[in-house]
Amino acid sequence: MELPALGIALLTLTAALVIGVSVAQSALGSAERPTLERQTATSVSDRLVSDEVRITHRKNVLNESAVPDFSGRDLYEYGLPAEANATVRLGGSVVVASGTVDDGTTVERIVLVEDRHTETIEPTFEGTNRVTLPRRTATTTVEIRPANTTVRRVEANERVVLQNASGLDGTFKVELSRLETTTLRFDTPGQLTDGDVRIEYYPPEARKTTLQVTVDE
Amino acid sequence: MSSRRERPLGQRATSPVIGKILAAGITLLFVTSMSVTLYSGVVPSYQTAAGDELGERVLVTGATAIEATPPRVGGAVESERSVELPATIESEGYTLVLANGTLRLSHPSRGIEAETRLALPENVTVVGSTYHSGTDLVVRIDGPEQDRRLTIDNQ
Repeated sequence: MELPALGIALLTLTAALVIGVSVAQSALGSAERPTLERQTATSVSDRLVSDEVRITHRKNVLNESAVPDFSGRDLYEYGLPAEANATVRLGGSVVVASGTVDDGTTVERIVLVEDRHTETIEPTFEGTNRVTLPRRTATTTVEIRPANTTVRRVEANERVVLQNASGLDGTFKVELSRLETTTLRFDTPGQLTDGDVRIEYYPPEARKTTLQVTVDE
Repeated sequence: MSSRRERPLGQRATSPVIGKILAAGITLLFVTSMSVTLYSGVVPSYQTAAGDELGERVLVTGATAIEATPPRVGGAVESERSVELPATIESEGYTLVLANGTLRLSHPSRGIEAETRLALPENVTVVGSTYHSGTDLVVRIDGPEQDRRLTIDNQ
């Protein structure tokens, strides 16, 4: 009789079908990934390191002193959907968390964290009217209080930055180039002495770290 | 004459016929039940799952193109970027709708619809616009530095 043969044939066919379906299932399952979550995490992290947000000095350089002021609400301004939660870690420690993130998608990027501290020098001016700043800086504050002479002009690398024919007296902010070492020259008829000039400058100290943005939608 | 019992003409060879009909019936039943199982449950769910994934990727491709379009330079700009997107998802056309800082994928099948928020610089104003699938997606941006207007369009 052919019925048993038919039965075996159908059984084999069913088995093949089940195997086929389960292979397709696993192929589809492995192709699945949280695309939208990833997109959100990428674009939020992109905005976080762009040069127009207030926690950066420039692109990819974070301002260390501004980071603590950063709040979870800012994240929603930078493109995080209202219903999503996110955590931002800097060098492994959480900086900002909004909501609870159980298992999200993490985007990691390498950033510089720059900290600017203030350093002061009081040049003694022994036989010279020049001062070279030991570190490069974008701005300085020069306080000029000459005791016995007048300062008519201040030059930074041969470029005149301050000038007053009747004498400079007071505190002045001077913009310098971050890209070269600066020598300040004080143009005076007499000799400057210790305590006449006080210079504050703000050398940046940068370290490399990772910024991780985890988004849970 | 032999003593073989003669059957009436209409009853001859019934069991092979019944056997064949039975086999054909069982095969037909098997094929039908398998087809019903596959086409009513497994296949549509796979189609939706694949369409869903594709839909998300289309949306992300569009969003990435839109976010990459605003130029970093100052002054008035006029810039255009086009990106290739699939013509159909699950054999049907779709639209991308740009409105209120979000990009939404609209599709006849509800399971495929998705939405993402765009992260754009503050000086960029999003103008509500729609892209219909079939051609390349074109992202346009123009205007002075303080007020740049971004639209999407078909090629």
